[in-house]
Amino acid sequence: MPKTHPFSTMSRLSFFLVAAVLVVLAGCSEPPTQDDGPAYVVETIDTPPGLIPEVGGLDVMRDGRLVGVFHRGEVMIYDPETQEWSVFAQGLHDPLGVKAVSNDEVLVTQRPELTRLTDTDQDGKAERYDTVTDDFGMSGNYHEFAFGPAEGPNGDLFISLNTASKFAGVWDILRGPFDPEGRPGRMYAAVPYRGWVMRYHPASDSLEPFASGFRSPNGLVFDEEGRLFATDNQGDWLGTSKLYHVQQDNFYGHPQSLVWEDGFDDIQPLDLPVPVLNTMRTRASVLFPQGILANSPTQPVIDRTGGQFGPFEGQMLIGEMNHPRILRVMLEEVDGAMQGAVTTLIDSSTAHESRPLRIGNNRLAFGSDGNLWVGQTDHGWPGDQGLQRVRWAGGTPTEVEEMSVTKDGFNLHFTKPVRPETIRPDSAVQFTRYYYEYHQEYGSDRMDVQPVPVTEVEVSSDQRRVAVALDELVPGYVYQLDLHGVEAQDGTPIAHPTLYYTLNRLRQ
Amino acid sequence: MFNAHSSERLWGLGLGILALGLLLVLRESPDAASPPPKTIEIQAVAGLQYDRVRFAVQPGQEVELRLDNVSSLAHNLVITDEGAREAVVAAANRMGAEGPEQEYVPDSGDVLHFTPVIAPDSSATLAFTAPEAAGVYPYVCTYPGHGVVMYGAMYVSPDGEAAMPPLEEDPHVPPDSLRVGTSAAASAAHPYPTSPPIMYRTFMPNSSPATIAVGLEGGVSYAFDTVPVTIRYAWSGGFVDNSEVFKGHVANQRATIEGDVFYRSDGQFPLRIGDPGRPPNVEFEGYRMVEGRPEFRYTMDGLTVRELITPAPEGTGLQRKFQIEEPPQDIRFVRRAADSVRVEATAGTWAADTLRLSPEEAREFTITMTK
Repeated sequence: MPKTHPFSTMSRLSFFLVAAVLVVLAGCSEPPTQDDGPAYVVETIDTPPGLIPEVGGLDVMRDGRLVGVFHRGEVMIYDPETQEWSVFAQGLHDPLGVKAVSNDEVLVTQRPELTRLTDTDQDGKAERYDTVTDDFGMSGNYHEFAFGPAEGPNGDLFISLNTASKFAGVWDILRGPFDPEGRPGRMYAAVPYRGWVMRYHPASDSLEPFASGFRSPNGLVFDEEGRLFATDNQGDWLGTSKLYHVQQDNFYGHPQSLVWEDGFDDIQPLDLPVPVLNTMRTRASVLFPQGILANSPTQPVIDRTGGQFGPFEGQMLIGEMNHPRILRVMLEEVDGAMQGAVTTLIDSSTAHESRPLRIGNNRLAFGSDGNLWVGQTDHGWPGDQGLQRVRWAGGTPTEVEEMSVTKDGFNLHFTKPVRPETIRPDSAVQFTRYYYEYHQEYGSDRMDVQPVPVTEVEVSSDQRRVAVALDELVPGYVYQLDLHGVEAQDGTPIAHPTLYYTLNRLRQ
Repeated sequence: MFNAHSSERLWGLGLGILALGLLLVLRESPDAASPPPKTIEIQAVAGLQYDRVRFAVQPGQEVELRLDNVSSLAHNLVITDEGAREAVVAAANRMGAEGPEQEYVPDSGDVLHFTPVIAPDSSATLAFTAPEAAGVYPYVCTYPGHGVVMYGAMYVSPDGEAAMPPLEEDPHVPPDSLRVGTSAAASAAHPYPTSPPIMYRTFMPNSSPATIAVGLEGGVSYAFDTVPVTIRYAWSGGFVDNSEVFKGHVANQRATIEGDVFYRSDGQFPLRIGDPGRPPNVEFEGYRMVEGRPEFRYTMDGLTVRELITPAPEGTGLQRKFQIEEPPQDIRFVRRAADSVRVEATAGTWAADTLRLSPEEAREFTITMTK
């Protein structure tokens, strides 16, 4: 289906005229930019000679040291006190996740297994490389990454298994059974349990399939209430990138993983009608509009710093590969399901000159001092390499702190009082809604893009809450909010004026 | 369908400028012979790159540029004015919601021509007239995040390709290790010494995807496959070259063996408990580093086995020290007739290709395989 262009119906002559005007406009005015303000400061950490710093995982040990895993197999420890690096382990296969257990022990997810590394003699290097579990298949396809682990409230460990890419085949010598029904498709699952989130139960030493329907689930996290969330990446069957609330036995929409689901013997998942798959799937809690906000959201973390990282305690932050951004997610439970809004916490693409935050933000971890470690990678994708640290400078940015759906619109809760006169009902608060198609094709355009008229705007007496009533709320749409000219009482403009709320369910 | 259309928005701009240019050209030299049209084919390939990072055209030449996207990501191709690549990429990054609506092409006078964003497995054709002014005009993918590395250069010159410097000296093409090949020094880069003993879990040829390559002192190396839980093969000479694997997202790369394979097993687990005809159920459990070498641990029917592999004391080969915890019955070690190595054992009794060990002998024994 062809994309439409704004001037597609005009004559050649008017093209010329419009183009000339555009050239003039472009020549005399810079695109609008805004500062991230002084709220967050990004600092680049030097990595040691010889290390190719493609960061596959980050975590913080009890003593405050950072442990990082890197694509070429290293597990490195960085001591922020002495600013020294040391090699903890080496020779791993594309490690893409790490969890510190103690000052001498870490769990690492590498391509073939979940591994426990232990420094048994306290010499700073792991001697033991114990296989926690390798009960999943490998076809040799380069796209079969493994992510995690995230630890659940009861000590279970969760890992996620990437599907394979049709841009490469499978090997002659595999690990695990091969199912030819899992071989078709752009991203495929010819060995178990590709496209699944898996649960490892320590007491029974068993790895069990937990939830299916994932494509490239490069990020797992548990929130304060013990809910598991996973990111997934735009592509086939994903019109745009997503954040899922992962619950046991649910199916999240990418069909090839179903060949490893009970009851799907000899069923080709791609033959299932899309409307059937659509009723089977659990919708994402949050959609990340492709190309606008994010292209490849990565690891989620929860701000549990007790205010050391600013005003967003308890919220979820997510890295992003293609843009110099950290995303901030505001979740709420509506009618029994999680949904919510996303915006940027840091967006260096709109900074005036410098680009303090890099792209390639693959991994995040909070330090015990409340600073956020950010590890970058590229590895053949858009990205960068290295390690940065984000510090809250202590100021309160002017932001929408919470965005919550109401029966007739949304409540916006600001980080500080706003000037009511800047909340002009006719222009300050603008909503657009659209949806993404669920289909086998790669990605989706924004469909049925429509402005949503604002019928009423009401500012609370403390001037921190703004209730917005809309003409219409339709579930299944992303509601994009653009704030124009909104200022805090202290005169600062809103730092990140665009938010995206995924409206799955209406407030009853 | 994205075939054979460029964006009409900039078509307008292009045509407008074209009309102006045409007027000027016609006025100055109405009889100028224009060069024949030129067709350029460029593929967007894996690893965020165009397969063709530069081409040359004549000033004013009609050009038909076909972009084929054979990668797994979406791409466009934007031709910018001289020296404007980075500014256009920066402007594209600031487009916000307009990005997807406008093919990630900013409204900028620096943009000369562009294709729309095309999905994997699709193509676009861009027809345009090359600038009259000789120079180097960048082309770049402005899809978010791609512009840093995915670009090339259109040389406009009456001299054609002769105007281009040697590729390795060309500052207008990306200094991309994927294209020019990773140097041996870079591929060996680690923050630790890479002299043996050294090991990698990596993608190895002729073994399962879950294989461990180990390089030992004296230039002998082996591939330990954690699926059958045994040595797949051993070689002498160098260790492995991981430079293809380290490139990341491109294809199913594997490490290459440096040296000559002197031992190749049939990929079957070699030990038996009691019944020589029944292979036990084997589980790989990991390894412990002993003087820089892995001592593998696995279970067979629940019995714990440790296997430490060191260079053979004499000649080219491997010494495999097995330790089995409390063997309940006789243990057998089965070698294959296809083994091209000399096999010796410190304990047990050979009968043809099978070594039989009593439970006491099986607690610790060593098999030496030499070329």
